[in-house]
Amino acid sequence: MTKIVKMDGYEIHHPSVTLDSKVDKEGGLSLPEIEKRMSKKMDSLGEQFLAGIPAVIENIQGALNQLENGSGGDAEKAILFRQGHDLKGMGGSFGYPIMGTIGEGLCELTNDEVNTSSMNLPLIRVHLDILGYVMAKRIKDDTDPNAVPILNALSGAKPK
Amino acid sequence: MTNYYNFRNLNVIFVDDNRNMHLLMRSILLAMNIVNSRGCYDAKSCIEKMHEEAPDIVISDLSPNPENGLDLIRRIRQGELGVDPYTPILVISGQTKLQNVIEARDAGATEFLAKPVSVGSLYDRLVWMIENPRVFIKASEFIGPDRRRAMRGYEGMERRK
Repeated sequence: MTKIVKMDGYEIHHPSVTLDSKVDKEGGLSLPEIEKRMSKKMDSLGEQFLAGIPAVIENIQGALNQLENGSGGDAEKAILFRQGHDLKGMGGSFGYPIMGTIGEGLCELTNDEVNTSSMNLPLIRVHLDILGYVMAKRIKDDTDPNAVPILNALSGAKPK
Repeated sequence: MTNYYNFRNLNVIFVDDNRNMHLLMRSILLAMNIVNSRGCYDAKSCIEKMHEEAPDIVISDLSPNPENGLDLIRRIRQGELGVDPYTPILVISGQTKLQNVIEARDAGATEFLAKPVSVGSLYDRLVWMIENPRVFIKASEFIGPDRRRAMRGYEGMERRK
């Protein structure tokens, strides 16, 4: 039963059930063992992630086209931010941190502090082009020889 | 002989609106021997699944859609549908500005972990949560883990490098 201590204007609750009562203190795997197990799965997970990138590109492309031809607005901007946000979170998680960097750049260009009417569409287009190239070349991170020009392009594709 | 935590008996619910993240989270949890995990795509199904069978921990994304993240945390802390309001909640998010961490903390999150997520970062944070249980504060406008003992924040994601 939760122990409740009444204070002046608030209560302190001491939950009776805590996580340490749910796990055994022995018999588990070490982190290297867990990482070894996971590494066997990462290749196939990375492939599945990569297989979803064309749809991401298509979504970005569609929204950006509308913004470029003047028929897009807040909804298209939200799509761009959402796609960037997902890339930012997932790129590194799936072994493609360079895609995470691209996603981060898209978020910076489309976040709440940026007015829809003053978005830097050419820079967003640069990110889209780089994303297509990274996917086609399967560039994971800065250890790939093809990554150097990409990283240079990304660092140059920042709003002034 | 060194002993390691055996997570096998943990019951986990994770919430993320992205299918790829479900695949990744399920794989990581399985690698950690956590066989009893359920994935949800939104707050509503998370609350329903918590009502069906109480999890030991909820791992949730902090999506741009507040329905998924902050709102879910508040609903759990209010004990909606009779769910355990003391359930530990680990937020995993790509939104890593200080403001995002503070919002998650003020909604009642237990800990915060920045994406990208890895086996190492999740393991690290889980062990931290096991070894550092937090008391809860209930006041007129807040119920959640004591905010005076700060969440470990998101520095942990790089700690193992």
